[in-house]
Amino acid sequence: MGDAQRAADVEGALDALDLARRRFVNVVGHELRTPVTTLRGLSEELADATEDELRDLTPAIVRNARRVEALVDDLLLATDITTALPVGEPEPIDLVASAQATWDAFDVDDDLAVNGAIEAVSALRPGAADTLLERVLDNAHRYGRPPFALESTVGDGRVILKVSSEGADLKPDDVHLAFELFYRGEGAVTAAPGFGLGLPVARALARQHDGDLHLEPRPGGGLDVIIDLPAAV
Amino acid sequence: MTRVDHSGEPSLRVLVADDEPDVRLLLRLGLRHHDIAVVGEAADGLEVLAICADQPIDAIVLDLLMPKMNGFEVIPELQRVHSEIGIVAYTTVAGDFVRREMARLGIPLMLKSGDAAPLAEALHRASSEARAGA
Repeated sequence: MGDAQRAADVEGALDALDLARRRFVNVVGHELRTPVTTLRGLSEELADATEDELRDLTPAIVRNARRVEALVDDLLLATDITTALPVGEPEPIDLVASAQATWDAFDVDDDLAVNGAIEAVSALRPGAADTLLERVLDNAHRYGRPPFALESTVGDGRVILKVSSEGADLKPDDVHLAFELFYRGEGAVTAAPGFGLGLPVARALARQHDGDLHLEPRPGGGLDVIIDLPAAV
Repeated sequence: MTRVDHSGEPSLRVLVADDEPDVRLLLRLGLRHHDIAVVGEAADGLEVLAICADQPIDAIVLDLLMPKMNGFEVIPELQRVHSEIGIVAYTTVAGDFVRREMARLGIPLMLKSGDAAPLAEALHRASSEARAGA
C-alpha cells in the first residue's frame, strides 16, 4: 500500500469519526434540551404559582427530572458502559405479565394483543425486565401503527417474545442501522422525538442475561422485535 | 417587547400544540405573563384543525414533531383554511431541513426554551401579520 493510499484511508477514518462525534453531540444535546428547558421553565414558575398550579407543577418537575435521569442511564447502557448494567441477583419474572403491565401503564387507546404461552418466565436482575420491555413496547407504539401484538413461545430452554407492529415498509438499512446509536429511520424523524436508543438499550439488557434481540421487517410494512432469553429453571 | 392590554383581558388567544403535556403546561403558565391566554391545547395536528374549526384562535404555538399529523403537514392546511391565524413553529430540533421548510412556508421558527418572552413576542407579531394579510 502506498503512502497516498494510507493517507486517504486515515483521512476517511477521521471523517467517519468526526461524523459520529457530531451525530452524538447533536442528538444528545437536542434530546436533553427538551426536559432541561422544561425543568428550567417550570421551576421559574414556582415562585408565583397558586396552590392549584403547584399541584400541576410539582409532579411535572419530578417527571422531567426523572426523564433526564433515564436519558443519562440509557446513554450509558446503549454505549456498552457495563458499570451501568443492572446489579443484584437474577429473579424469576413472568415476561408476558410484565409486558402487559408495561403496556397498560402507557395508558394509550391502542390494545396489545397477547398470544401464545400464558407464562414466559426468565430470570433477570431487578429492574432489567421492566426497562427492556418498556423500551421495546415504547418503540413499537411510538414508531409503529396498530395492530400491536405480543406472541410468546417457551421451549428448548428459551423464552421468545415477539413484539409486532405495522408501519413503514422498512428498508434493509433501517433494520440494520436500528442498533446503531442515535440512528432513527426516515419515517421516525418527522413523527416523534427520541434518542433512537430504545432498541440498543433493550439489546444490551438482553445480552447481559445471555439473551439477544433481533429485528425482522414485516411483509407489507412494520417490524417484529424478537426478544430471546433463557427460560428460568 | 411585551404588549400590555389595559383592559385586563389578555389580548391574544393562543392554541398550544405539542404532544408533550409538560411543555403545554409550561407554555400555559409562562405565556400568561405576556398578555396571552392559552385557550386551547392540542397533542397532534388533527386536534389543531378541530380546535381551530371550533373556536376563535389568534395564534398557534406549533410543535413540528407530533404523532398522527405533524407540524409540517398541518401548516399548509392551516394556511389554506385559517390564513387569519398566526403560526410560530416551536421546536427542539432545527436542522437544515426544518429551517428550509419553514422559510419556504413563511413560518417563523423558534427553538424551545424555558423563557417564554421571545415566543410571546413572536406570537404577537405572527398574529398581527396574519390578520393584516388575511
